[in-house]
Amino acid sequence: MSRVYIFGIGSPFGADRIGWLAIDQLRTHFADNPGVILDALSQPTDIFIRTFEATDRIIFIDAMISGRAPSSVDLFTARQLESGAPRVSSHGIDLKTTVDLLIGMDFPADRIRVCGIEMSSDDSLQSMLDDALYAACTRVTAFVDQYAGSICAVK
Amino acid sequence: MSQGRDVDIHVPVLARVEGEGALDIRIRDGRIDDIQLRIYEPPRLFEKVLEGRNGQDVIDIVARICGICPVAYQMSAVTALESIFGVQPTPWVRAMRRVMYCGEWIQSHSLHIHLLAAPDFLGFNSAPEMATRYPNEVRRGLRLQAIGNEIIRTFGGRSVHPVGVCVGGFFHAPTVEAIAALREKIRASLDDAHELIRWTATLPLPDDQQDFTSVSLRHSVDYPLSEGRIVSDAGLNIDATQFAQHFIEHQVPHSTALHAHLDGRPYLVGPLARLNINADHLPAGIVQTLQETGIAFPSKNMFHSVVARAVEIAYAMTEALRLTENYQPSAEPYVAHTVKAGTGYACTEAPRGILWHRYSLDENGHVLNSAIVPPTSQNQARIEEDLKNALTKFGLEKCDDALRKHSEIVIRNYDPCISCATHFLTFRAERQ
Repeated sequence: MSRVYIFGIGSPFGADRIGWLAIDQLRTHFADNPGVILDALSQPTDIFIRTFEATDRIIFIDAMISGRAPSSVDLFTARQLESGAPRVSSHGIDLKTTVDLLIGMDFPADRIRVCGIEMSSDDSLQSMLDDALYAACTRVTAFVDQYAGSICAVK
Repeated sequence: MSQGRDVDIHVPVLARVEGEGALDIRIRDGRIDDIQLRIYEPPRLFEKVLEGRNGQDVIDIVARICGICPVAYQMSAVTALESIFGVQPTPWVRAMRRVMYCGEWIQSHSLHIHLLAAPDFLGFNSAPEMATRYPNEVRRGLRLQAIGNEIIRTFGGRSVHPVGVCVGGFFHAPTVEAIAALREKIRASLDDAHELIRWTATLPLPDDQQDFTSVSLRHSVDYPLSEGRIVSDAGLNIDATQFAQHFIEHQVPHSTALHAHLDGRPYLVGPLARLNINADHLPAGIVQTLQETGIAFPSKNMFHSVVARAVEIAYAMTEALRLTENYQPSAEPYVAHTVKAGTGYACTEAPRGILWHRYSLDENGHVLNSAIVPPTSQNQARIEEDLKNALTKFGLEKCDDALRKHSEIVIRNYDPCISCATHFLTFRAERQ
């Protein structure tokens, strides 16, 4: 039996807040499922305050800029993440490096997903925010529901 | 390669850094003729941005100067502002600010040790690569970093650019339950922190003894965080109002960041300097762990900085536990104040060293002008001095790639904000 961790990455303001907004909505959806743990984080490495088992699943929800249409949503595997240079500095560690660290420490890559929500540099996202959130939460809940039978309650 | 070679080493771009810089080294007749850590990032003009702003704006804006040490900027700013307004924070506020500051030290130092410095010493190209061979050590480091962030989040609402600090204290007091949960996490990882001291002491650190002046805060009782006088191991002992009389900032042609000298000489700020000056303020348990390693402070080995960071992580966790024992939220988490005109000064210990602020306010409490002297700026001249000594000792006859790598290690050892990425030097050598 395993747990599913869903981490929204972002901040309280601007387009970057969408990861936190998604967590707010998912908290309602998974309120009755103690095997699904949700958290809104300022930086991805904050996940490491927790101890993960190899049977767990980890989903990140984050804003992305990839050139797709604003508000489009994708659910990436760890292997599908862009292979651009990861950012490691004294000011922080990016999501790609965080995923690499997880895998480096023997967390199974196939149990990691990244839900990316395309951001826009103009105001067009604002009008599509609800749609983007709905799409992201739908993708995430569908993924989690696949494993509903194997999720156990957390003590 | 002959010892008497002439080489110009240009590192045009320090890539993947929080800031923009480069490194130029000129070797003539087998000796370093010139060395320049060039910082060409455009000035960010924060001091100008602050003009006309009120106190709370100042506290929230200066937090944006640095993504990893926003608490330090907030603490120096709020202390300076309170000195103008005549605000005396309550013992509860002073203690909780210290706890919040501990969180910043823990997360900053842990990130540096495990993800920036350790790969250098253990021969890995990156932290993820190191994690495959040292998973437990990396996991421990990331766990400690996350605990530091959790402390900041508890007081500031979020770990990046926290927003909980105000003149007189905090906007809200954490609940008993929140502090209890935090204490449990800290307590559960305290052994990790001691083990980290032992582990850093086993790293294959270069023996790089150098002559330098250490500068830090010094408090009569506590290891310095947010309070104390500015002292050096060469006899300096001043308060924050006297900083500008002794520490002279000056422009150099190759850097947009000001250099700073103390009595005309470079000096060191940061964990090694702090520990060199304040080792007698460490708790007995940490002293014992440190003694087991055989490494003693004061130390003139620059690479003992990494051990000093581990010591400060253990200290910060111990101190956070001490200060939150029997925690009760304050009914008045901040002291009310009345704005007034004046000039205020403050100096606190950011993870990378002393951070000095000065503000002059008008009668409405708005900033007329300000000055901020961050630790990395203060360490620039020392880094150049260190590079000259360290590369000469390393061996200038070594190949360019070896010199480049060692230069990187020397610079990274300071955990500078402007050049803090791993393996950031793009290297080009011009030979005559």
